[in-house]
Amino acid sequence: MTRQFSQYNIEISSSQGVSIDVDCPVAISAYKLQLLYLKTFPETFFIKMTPENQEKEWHILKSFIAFFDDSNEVFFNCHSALPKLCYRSFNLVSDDQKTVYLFVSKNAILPILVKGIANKIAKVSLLNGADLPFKQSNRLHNSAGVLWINTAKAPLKDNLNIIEIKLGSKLNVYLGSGAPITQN
Amino acid sequence: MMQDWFKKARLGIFIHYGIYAVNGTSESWAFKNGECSYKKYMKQLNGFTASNYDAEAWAKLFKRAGASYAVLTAKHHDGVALYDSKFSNLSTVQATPAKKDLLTPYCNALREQGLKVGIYFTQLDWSHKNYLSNSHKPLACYIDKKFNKMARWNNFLEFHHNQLTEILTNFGQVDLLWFDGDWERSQEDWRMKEMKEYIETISPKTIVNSRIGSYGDYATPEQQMPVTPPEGEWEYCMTVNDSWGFRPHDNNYKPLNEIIRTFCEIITLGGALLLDIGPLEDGTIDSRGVKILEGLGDFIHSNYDAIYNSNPITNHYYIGGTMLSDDKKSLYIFSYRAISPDVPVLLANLGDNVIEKAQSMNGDSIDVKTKDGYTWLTCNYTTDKISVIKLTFKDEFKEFTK
Repeated sequence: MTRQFSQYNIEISSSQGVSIDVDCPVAISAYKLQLLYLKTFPETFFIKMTPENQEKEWHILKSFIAFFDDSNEVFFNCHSALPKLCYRSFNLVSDDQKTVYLFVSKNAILPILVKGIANKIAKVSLLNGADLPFKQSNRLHNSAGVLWINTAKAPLKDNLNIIEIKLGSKLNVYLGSGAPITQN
Repeated sequence: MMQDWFKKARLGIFIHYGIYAVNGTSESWAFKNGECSYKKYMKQLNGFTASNYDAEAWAKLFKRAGASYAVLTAKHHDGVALYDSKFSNLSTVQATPAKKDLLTPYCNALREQGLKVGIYFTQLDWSHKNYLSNSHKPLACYIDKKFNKMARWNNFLEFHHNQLTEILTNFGQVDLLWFDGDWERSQEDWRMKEMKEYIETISPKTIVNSRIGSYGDYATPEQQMPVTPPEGEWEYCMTVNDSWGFRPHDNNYKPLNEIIRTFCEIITLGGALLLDIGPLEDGTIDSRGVKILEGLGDFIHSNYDAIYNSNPITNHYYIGGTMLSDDKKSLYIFSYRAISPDVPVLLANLGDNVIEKAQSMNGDSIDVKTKDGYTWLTCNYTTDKISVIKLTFKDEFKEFTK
């Protein structure tokens, strides 16, 4: 991983994990920070810093950089995990495929919905933090049910938060349409 | 066959009402799964009173919940009909102290409230002496080597056909027929093709769900939310707690936010949610179920246009859900985040669509800024609930194409 502070770009690519190039004396607007939460639209995007918003947004940049510093293990050697149909925001899976990381904003309405994880889930927690209550409902016939995560009692940061989902096995993504139940 | 109304059905209420509510056993499956004997299960007939059954109150509640239709179990796998059948004494009229036809008042009350009438009617009948289950554990009452199996099966099919005819002809227009249990025999055994043709002949406006072999009008994923939406029309059925029928020990009611979020997920993917409640044997509905229906109703009625006067649209625009108004001039944004002026809402890919007006469904104002291909909405209000933003465009909305 290399972080350079010589260009006016931050690049995030879901296929390659995340690489960051941040020009140092720059600022990033609160608006643009939302792009990181989203990761919804293009597979890769660039955020350009503009000189006029530097002063105003400097504090946001600082928390942004601090965030990346805290989260090295997530960002490097990770791969894209769940498609938009499962979880619309940014998410990654670890190199060994056994941990999924979800990006969550503080203002998410609870519980948080994640679809498509067919594995039995061992543990859900904030990254390097408190365990979070979760419910894997209706996990039938070995196909994926629905994962609901509740962060109500967790200390979330104002900007980005990462939820760590520990799987007992390698990530198995279910993209099906569900089916009738023939044994109740 | 499929009717236009179902494409905008959005919410139905599923009601599993039957003798299983007396002791709170699982519906029909109790004796099949060995939870209790068949004899003990059927003793519940003696305790079924429907003494506080009020179909009008149900229908009003469903209307209040924002539903457009309901589906009541006219006959579950235990074979107990909720109406007076000429072809069997096993009904709430003939075999229970209730002595009541529960289906007629239900159908009338739904129509009175402008709701579509759905009837659940299972294909199989574990109480009929000639019903031949293919189950790996056949019930003793089916085993009778003296009779020719085919003759027995034909007898059962005739009975089934007769009851089906009753359902479709004695209760006015049945808008939706919710079959179940077809998995126990092949569709050739059931003669499903003929059954579907028969239904289309005697009741052409009745929509039939998927559980009629391969002849159904729409798909029915159950308790397991689709990730990829099924092809064509579909309906996702789900319980408010963990049980289809009333079970006194099931306190695991889903939180309202979870139900609303599920509803939004389903409708923005193009489906309908069929949300199940299990009334008590007297016909009352547990207050926790009522509360969920009312809470969902509050959401639906405050966002009515976004839900009922719109259509799902492939979402390239927002992290939550999106619907496009019938006149294609407004995009509804379903936000699963708290809204406040200090955290703008980001949209992408709106292209050269010109926003004329942006507001909450209550009419609160929203400032719009477009820059670098993204649209930033600053909402001049706060909410910590799932909410909908309405963007109205100058012209018909042009969808994003890659």
